[in-house]
Amino acid sequence: MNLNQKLSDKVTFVGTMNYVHTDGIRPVIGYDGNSVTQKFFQWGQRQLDYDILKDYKNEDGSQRTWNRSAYNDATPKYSDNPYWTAYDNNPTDTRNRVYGSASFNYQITEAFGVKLSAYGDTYNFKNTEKISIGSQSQSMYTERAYDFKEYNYEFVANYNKDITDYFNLKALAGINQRDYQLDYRKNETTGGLTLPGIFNINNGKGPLDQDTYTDFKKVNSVFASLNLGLANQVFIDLTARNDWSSTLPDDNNSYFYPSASLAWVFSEIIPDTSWFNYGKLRANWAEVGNDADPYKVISTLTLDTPFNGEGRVTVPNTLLNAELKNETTRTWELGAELSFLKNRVNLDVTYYNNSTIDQIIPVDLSYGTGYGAQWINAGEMTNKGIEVQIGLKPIKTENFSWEIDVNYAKNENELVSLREGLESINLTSAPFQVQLLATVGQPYGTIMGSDFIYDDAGNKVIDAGTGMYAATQDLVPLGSVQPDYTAGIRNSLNYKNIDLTFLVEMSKGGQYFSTSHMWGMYSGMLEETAANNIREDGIVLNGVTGTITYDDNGNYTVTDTAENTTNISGQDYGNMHYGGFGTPDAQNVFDSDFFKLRELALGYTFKNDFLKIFDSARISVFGRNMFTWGLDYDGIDPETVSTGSGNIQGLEGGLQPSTRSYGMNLKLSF
Amino acid sequence: MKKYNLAILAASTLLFVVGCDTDYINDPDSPASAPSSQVFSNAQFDLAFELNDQWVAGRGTLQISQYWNSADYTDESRYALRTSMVDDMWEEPYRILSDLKKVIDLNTDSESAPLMLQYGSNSDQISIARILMAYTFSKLVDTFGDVPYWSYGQIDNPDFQALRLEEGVASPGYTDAATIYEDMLSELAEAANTIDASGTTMPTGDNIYGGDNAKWIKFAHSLRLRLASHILDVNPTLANAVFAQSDASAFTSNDDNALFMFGTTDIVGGPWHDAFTVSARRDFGPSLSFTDLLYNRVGPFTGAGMEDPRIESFFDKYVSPAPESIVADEVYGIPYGFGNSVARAVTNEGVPDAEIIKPDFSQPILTYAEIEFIRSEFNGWDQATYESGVTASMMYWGIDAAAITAYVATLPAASEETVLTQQYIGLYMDGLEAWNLYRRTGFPNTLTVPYDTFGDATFTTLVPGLDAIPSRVTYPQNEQLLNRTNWDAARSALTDGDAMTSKIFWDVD
Repeated sequence: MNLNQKLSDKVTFVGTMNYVHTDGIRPVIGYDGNSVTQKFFQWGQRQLDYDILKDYKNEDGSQRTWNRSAYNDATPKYSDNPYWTAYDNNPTDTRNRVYGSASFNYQITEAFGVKLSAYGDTYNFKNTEKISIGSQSQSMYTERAYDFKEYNYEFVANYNKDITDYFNLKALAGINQRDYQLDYRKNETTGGLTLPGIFNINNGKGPLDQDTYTDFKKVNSVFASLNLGLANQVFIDLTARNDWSSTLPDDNNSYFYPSASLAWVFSEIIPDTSWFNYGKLRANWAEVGNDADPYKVISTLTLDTPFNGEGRVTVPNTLLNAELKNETTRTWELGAELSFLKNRVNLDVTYYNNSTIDQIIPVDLSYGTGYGAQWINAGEMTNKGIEVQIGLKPIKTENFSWEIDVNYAKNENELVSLREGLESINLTSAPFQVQLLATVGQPYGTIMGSDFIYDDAGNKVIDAGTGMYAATQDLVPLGSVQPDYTAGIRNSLNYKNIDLTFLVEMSKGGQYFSTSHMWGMYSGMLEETAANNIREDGIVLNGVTGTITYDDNGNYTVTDTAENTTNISGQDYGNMHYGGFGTPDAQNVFDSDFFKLRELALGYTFKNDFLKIFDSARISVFGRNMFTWGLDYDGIDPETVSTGSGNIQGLEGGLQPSTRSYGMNLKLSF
Repeated sequence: MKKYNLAILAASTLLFVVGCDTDYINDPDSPASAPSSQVFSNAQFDLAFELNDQWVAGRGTLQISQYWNSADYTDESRYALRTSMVDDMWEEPYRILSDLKKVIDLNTDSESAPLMLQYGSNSDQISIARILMAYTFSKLVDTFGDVPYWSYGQIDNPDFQALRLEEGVASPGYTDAATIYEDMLSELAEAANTIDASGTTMPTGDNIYGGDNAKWIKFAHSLRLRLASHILDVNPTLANAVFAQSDASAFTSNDDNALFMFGTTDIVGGPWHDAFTVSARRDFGPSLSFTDLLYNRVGPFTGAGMEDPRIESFFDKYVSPAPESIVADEVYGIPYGFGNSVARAVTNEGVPDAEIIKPDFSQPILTYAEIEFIRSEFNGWDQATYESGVTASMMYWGIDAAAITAYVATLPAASEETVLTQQYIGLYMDGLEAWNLYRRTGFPNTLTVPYDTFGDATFTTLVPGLDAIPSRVTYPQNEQLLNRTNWDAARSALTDGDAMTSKIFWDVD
C-alpha cells in the first residue's frame, strides 16, 4: 500500500505499508528424535518397506511402528514410524510481518531539501512443536512466540546540484534513532497430554514449563555523505557515521566509521576502438562499526524455575564483560570492469580484503573458570579473496548464438590474532565426535578429532588386539571446512527457435565430518557395511600392525611393523567408524569437492505467425540439480553440509538431502 | 530565508548530537543480585540432578560400579564413554561450584552482605557453601585426578586457579589432587568449627537439611570421614588423624542422612523420571553381577540363609505387556560387559524400582550407613558398626525390622571383604562412591572384569589399552583444545598420561 501526497509545492508526504504472511510445516533435521533424516541415515533399517510403513496408524489411533518394544509389545521402542513423525509430530510456524514508513519531504530550494521519516518493521513469529499421544516419548505440545518491533526515526538534509555539466555534487547529513524490541514467550506442556489430537497449551497434565525474555536496544546515529561526479568518468563517494549504542558500556558506547570510494570510467578518455569498449576501475575502503547484542555488559544472574516454594537463581553459563567495546569491520576492495570486442568479451574482477577487529563473540573457555564462555572482543579475523566473472559471446549470428558465463571465487578466512591468554575459539561441536576450531594462524574452521596413525612408509597402523585402525591420542586437525575455490560455467545456445542452457558448478578443496556416515556405518545403514560379502567373510583392513610409542608431547613413533592379518567381522568394521572406541574420527572426514550439473533447460519459442493471438509463446523443460559427481564419498552431497547456517558448515549430521527437480514451463504473452 | 533554515538545521543537529548519547539498557528479566538462598537452592538441585542423571550416572558411574547395565546399547558399559558424558562430569560440577561461590560472594561483598543477613549469618552461609564446595570438588578429583581448584580458606593462593575468571584467569592451572584433598579436609574442619550449631541458615533454599546448622556440622564431619577413608592407604597418618577428629561428630542415625528429594512435576522431577517417563526409554536394567550378589549367588554372603531383601527395593521385576501382565519370578540382571547381543538376549530384565523412577525420588548425597562402614574399617573391621551399617541401609530402603534382624543374624562376621561388600550394597544409587570403593580396595570382588567369559562371549573393553575396570575418566576434549598448556602439564603428571588406566593418587596397590 502506498500513499504519495503533494501537500504543497514544496512539501510531499509519502507513506507505505506492507503486510506479509507466511506459514509452513518444516521438518525437524539434525540429531533429534523427531528428525526423519536422522532415522533415514543413522538409526533405521534398510529393509523397511515404506509402502507398508505408510499405513502408520491403527484404527484406534495408536501407532504402527517397525521398532516394536518386544514381540508382544507394539509400543515404539526408540523410533517412531517416519510417517507418524511427518504427519502427527510435525512442527508448524506462522509469521505475520507489517512494515512501512511515513516521511515528509520539504524541498526548500531546487537543490536543498530536508526529510523527516519514520520507518517501522514489526513481525510476530509463532512456532509449535508437538509429540502426539502414542509416540515413542511422552506426548507434549510447545508454543513459542516472538514479537519483534523496530522503529527508525530519521532526519536528513540533502543538497543535490549539477554545478557544471562536468561536475555534480550530492551531499547529505542526517540523524537517526533506532529502537529495537524483541519479546519471547514459550509455553510447553509437561506430564503428557490429556486428550489425543488436541494441541492446546491447556491440554497438558502437569504445570506449564515457561520461558520469557525481552531484548531492548537503542542506537542513535549521526551521518553524512558526499558524492562527487566529474565529467561522467570519475565518481567519489565519502561517508562518515557515528553511532551511540545502548548495548555497550556507558563510557565507551560511541564509535565512528568512515568510508571512501573511487570509481573511474577510464574508457571515457580512450578513443573508441572496436576491440576495447568499456573500462572502469573501482577502489573502496570502508569501516563499519558494530555494537553487541543486548545485555552483554553488566553481569546479572539468571532465573530458573522455582522449587519447593522458593525461587531459584543461577550464575549464567557465559560471563558478561564490562570492558566490551564495539567491533569494527575494515574492508578494502579493488575492482575492474572491462569490455572488449564489441562487448563480446566482458570481464569483472574484484579483490577484497576484509578484517574484523575486536569481534564480539562468546568465546568458550575451560569450565574450570566457573563459566563455559565469556563475551569478549576476540581479536582479528580476516576474510580475503578474489571474484572473477567472465562473459563471452563467441558466436552471434542471426540464427545462432552461443554465450558462456564463467565465474570463479576464492576466499580465505583466517584468525589472525586472539585476545591474550587464549589460543583457540571452539566454533562448535558435532553431537558426538569432533569439534570445529579456529586457531590463531590457521584457517577458520578446522575439524579437530583423532586421526589415523601412520608408519614411516605411510601405511595406516592397525591395533593388533582389535584388528581395527589405531588412532592418535590427541585431537589433531583433520581438515579445513573452507573450500579453496568455487567456480561455475554457464553455456547458453540459441538456434532459431530453440534455446539450450546448462550450468555446471564446482567446489574444490575443504573437508567435512559426517555424523551420518559414522552412525550409518555403526548401525549398518550404509551399503559399505554389507558390500563384498563383508557380513559373511569379515574383512582384513589394509595396513600394518606395530608398536606405537608416545613421547611427552604426544608425538608418536611406530616400530616393529608387520602386515595386518587380523580378520574382523562386518559388524566390527561398521562399529569402528565411531571414534568413541578409540578409532580414528578421520574415517568420517571427506573432501568437500564436487561438480554439479546445476541447471539444464531446453526451450522453444513460437514465432508470432504460429498463433496470432499471442505476442509470444515459449515452452521449456528444465531440470535443477541434475547430477553430482567427483565426490570423495558418494553417499552425501557435500553441498548440503554447508546449507547449515553459521558455524556448522563442515559438520554433517542428518541434514535434508538435496533434491533433484524437473519441470516444464509455458510462457504466453498477449 | 535559506540561511535562516540552515541555521535552524545546524542548531537542531547540534542539539541532537549533544543528546545523542544513550544509556546502557539493563536486562529487565535478570536480576543483578539475588537472595543467597535462591542461588544455594539451585546449586543443591543441580548437585543432586546433574551429577546423577542418565548421562553422568545412568551410562557412567552407575554402570562402572555395575549396579546398572545398558539394556540395548552397551558401548558405555564397556567404557566407551561419550564425549558429552565426560563433558558433563567435568562441566556440571564447575557450574555448581560457580553458584556456591556466588553464595560466598553475596556474603562477603560489603554491599550485598548486609542484605543476606535475613537468610542467616554471613559466616554460616559461607561455611555451608564451603562444605558443599568440598563435596563437589571431591567428585571432580575422584573422577579425573588433578583439576583446577579454589577454596575460600586459601583465597589468595595463586596456585588455586579455578573459578577466577572475573579476576582474569581464563586458562586455569590444575592443582595436585593430594593437595586438594588436604585442603578440602581443612575446609570442612574450618567450616564445621565456625558454624553456629543452634542457628538456621537459608532454610527455604536448603532442601537437604531445611537450614539446620547442626546437621551441616555433622555432614561436614561425615564427609571428612569419607575423604579420610579414600586416603587411608596413601596417607594413613592423615586419614587416622581426621578420623579421630571427626568420628564423634559425624552422623549417628538415618535422621542425619543427606538426601535430596526432587519435586513431583516434569520440571523439577528427578533424573530417572526424566529418562524413563518423559523420554520414555528403558535403557537401563540391573547388572547381573549385582543381582547375583544380592541373591547370594556370588560373594561373601553365599552361605547366608536368605537373599538380600533390599533387591526388591532396588529393582522391580519385569512385567510382561498387558493384558497378560505376568510378573517375572525374580529380578533378572543383564550380564555386564559382554556386548550388545548378550545384553539384548535378556528380555525380562528388572527395572529400577518405582520409588527411583518416580519424580520425587530422594537422591542420597551422603548416608549414615556408609559412615558406619567407614567406622568399622577404621576400627579394624569392627562388628558393631558393621551390623549397624547394614541395619541402617536396610531401614533406609524400607525393609521391615523383622526381616532386617533375620538378615543381620545370618551375616558372616565383619572382615575387610564383608564390610566393604556391604558398604558397596549400601551405596546403591551413588555410583561414583561405589567405584571409588572398588578402585581403592578391590572390593566388591564380585564385579565382572575384562576377560571374564559368559557363554561364548568374552568381556573386552572398547577402549584400546584398557584391560581392567577403569581407574579414572579422561579429561574432556575442551581442556585439550582450550586449556592446552595446563592440560599438558596435568597429563604428564599422570602415570599413563590422560588415559583411563592412570590412577588417582589415593588408588595405591
